[in-house]
Amino acid sequence: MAHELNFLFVNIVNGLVYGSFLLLTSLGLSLVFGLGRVVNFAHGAFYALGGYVLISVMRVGAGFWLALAVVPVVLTGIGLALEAGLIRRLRKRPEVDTLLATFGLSAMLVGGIEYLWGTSTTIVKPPLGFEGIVQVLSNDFPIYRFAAAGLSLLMAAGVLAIVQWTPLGLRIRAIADDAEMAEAIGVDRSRLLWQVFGYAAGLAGFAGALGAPIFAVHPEMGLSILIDSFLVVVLGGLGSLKGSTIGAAVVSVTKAVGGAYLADWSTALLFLIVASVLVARPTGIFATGRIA
Amino acid sequence: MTLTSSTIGTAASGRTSALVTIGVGALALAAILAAPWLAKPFTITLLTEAFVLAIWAMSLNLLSGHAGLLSFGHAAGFGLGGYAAGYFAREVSADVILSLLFAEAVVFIVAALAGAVAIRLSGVAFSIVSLCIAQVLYQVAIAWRAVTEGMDGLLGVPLPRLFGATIKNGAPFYILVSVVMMATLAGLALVLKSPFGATLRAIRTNDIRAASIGIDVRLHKWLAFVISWMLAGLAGGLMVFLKAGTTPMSLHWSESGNVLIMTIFGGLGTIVGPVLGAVCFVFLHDVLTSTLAIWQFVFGLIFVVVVIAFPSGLAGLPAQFGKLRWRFSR
Amino acid sequence: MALLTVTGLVRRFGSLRAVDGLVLSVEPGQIHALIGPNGAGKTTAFNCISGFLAPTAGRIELDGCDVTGWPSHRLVSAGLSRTFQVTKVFDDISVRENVALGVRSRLRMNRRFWPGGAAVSAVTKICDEILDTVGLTARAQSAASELSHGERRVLEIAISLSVAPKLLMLDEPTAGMSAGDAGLIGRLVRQLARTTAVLLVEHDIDLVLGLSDRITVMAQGRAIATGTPEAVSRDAAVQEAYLGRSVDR
Repeated sequence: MAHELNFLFVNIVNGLVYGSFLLLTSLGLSLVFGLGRVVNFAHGAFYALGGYVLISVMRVGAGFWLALAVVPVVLTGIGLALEAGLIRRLRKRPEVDTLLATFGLSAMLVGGIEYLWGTSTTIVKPPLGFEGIVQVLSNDFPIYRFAAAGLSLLMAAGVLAIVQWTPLGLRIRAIADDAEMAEAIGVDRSRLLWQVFGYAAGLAGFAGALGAPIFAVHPEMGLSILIDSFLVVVLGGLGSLKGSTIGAAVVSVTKAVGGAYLADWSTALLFLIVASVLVARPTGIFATGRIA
Repeated sequence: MTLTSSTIGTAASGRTSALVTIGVGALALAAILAAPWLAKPFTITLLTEAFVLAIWAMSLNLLSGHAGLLSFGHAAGFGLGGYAAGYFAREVSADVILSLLFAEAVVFIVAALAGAVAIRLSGVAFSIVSLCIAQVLYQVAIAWRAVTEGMDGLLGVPLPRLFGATIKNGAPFYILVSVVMMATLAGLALVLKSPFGATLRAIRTNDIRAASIGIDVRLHKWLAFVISWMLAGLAGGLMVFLKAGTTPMSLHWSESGNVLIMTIFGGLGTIVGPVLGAVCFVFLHDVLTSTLAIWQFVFGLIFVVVVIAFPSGLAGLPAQFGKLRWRFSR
Repeated sequence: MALLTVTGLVRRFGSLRAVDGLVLSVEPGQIHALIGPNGAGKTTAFNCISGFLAPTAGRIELDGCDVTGWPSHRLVSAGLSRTFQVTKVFDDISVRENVALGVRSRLRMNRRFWPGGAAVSAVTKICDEILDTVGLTARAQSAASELSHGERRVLEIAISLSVAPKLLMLDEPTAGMSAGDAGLIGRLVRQLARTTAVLLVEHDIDLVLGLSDRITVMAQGRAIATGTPEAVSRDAAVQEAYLGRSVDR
């Protein structure tokens, strides 16, 4: 009995660690949709790029923390460039066209990663001082896991705070609430979407780099977290940040616990849950915006 | 009633264009059936694969191009049909008709249920749920080892038999696939020109208005969904014989992406577009993977360019350029 | 017997009762207008009756048959069709094909999987009769997207007419039209009323007074008066709730 409970505990903790990364990618996905009705299939590729940029910066001699700080800057730049060069052209087209175009973009980015860095999995060592393990209820956990999860939760809290309390956040909320009205009172929607798309890419890249010592780095890493992020925002409601937060916890814990007991069946179960939620409430559980 | 000159003109040009269509069709038919005597065996293998994929792309075109339901999980019906046909051929009988009938029965049951759920949504929500449905089947294919043999997949599917005779790979199987593909093309061309096809496009254009003139929107979407899945299942069943097996990868979402690009590249909402798209896809894939290490990059690039610049695809190019010329001449 | 009988119709949105116990009956062969100030619940009532919103409570009978909560496509086969305030025509196909969609729907040909056959010329003939009635014969071959705003409003009516309704519901048929074009629509509605009953929501008061056989005035989700145009325009409650306020505006 005690052993069973302990097993469950370990899986929930590991699930929540993954959930903290999932939250970072989901927040970006949700923000970009809420602002520009852009369903960004390439978001996972940004996450993967984050891991690879980290590796490259470390290879030229930088330490882990410096590399980790460089990643979001590079990824934000890439995001800004892609929005201006590609996403913007689809502004007046149906939502599904952005889904298609970013799907192609995702293939391009992953193909580019495989060309530049190869297809093998790269292990990244935890930074100095975080290699040890810590005991919680007599279970061993790597220290870095908690440090990274804490940092990404801090980042997520920062994003929520920015949206809630800063002038930038005010404009974001205004556009998400009523784009026409916000534009009428002088919010430059196009520029704002450009910025937010860039920041979201930076955030996804940061998550990919921060998670590198835990989950390792490989070209397909973005695709699995992207699909999980879709589940999160669908559960929580596209465009709802509160929904994303709860959705990330639900998805990651379901995956971890289900995976422990149901093995390969757990993902099927998760998809079934999400499909049922979407049918019962096509706008998600905490939806503010509409998906149509 | 008097015939005005304009109606005579349209009737005449309609007749001419029908003649052109029949002429081009007959030429294509002759070329396709003569190919085994003209082309290298490897080309025939590629063409066989392309025609199987063409059936699959046509099925997606019915659902996404004409009914307006953009599926990101169209590997579902394809992979499911492949597993069902392969299982039947291995365990019961390699008769191609019986195997495909069994596959269609399985696909029908799953599609009827999945469709009843999915067609309640539209737009991006439908795309995501269709992706979810395909992922469920993908995971089931991995998890249900007793039937699917898990990650290893169903291997060693025997050569198909037709009326007791074994159909060998190469030219014989190619002819079988060509006939099925052309029958599908002809059948779909009729269906898309029929009142049913017009009704689907009306729903795609404006589902509320369609409902207001007595069209049962959900019923028609459901029918399009089920027919589309069953055609995809047919393609999957043929593919399992071509490859002598299948793996969970046939249900993977990247396969859904592949069929999307074939269909969009060829021309969403057209009739022959998906066939052109599938043929181009297979030959491009072959050329690029053997000469370039960055196939996926090029694949993505083509995808992006087509979506942005040529939303009506290859088959829509003449019309698109016609419109451009018209715009310049004004 | 009345063609359409609505009793105690209620539609709530959250705590707001947009329609709150509406009573309405439309006689065969009549033009019946539903008017009222903004927010009176006309559009909500219209959507409930035509099957685009589920009523919270109440009963709707069409030709003696209880059709409460029926989806719109079933109501069409029961003999009711509607137009939309914001023109909803099928832009990418011809005018005749727009009408043909409804004709085929009425003849239950939607699920024919093959083209051609004798039925096609029958459909074309019915379409041409309808286009002749509404005066769009000359534009039969044009794409709907090429029509002028006025022509599109007429096509909007022709599409709804194509299912041969016993009751035609018109949602602001003259929305966005010039006075001259609006008069044209008025004459068309008068002509259509020879074969079908008409229930219309309309903002153009002069048109309504000149055209309607009966008028129901709504305020705060209820019918506050029903009668001939003369009786309604003399009604004190109506002047108070509606005409007075609209003058202030």
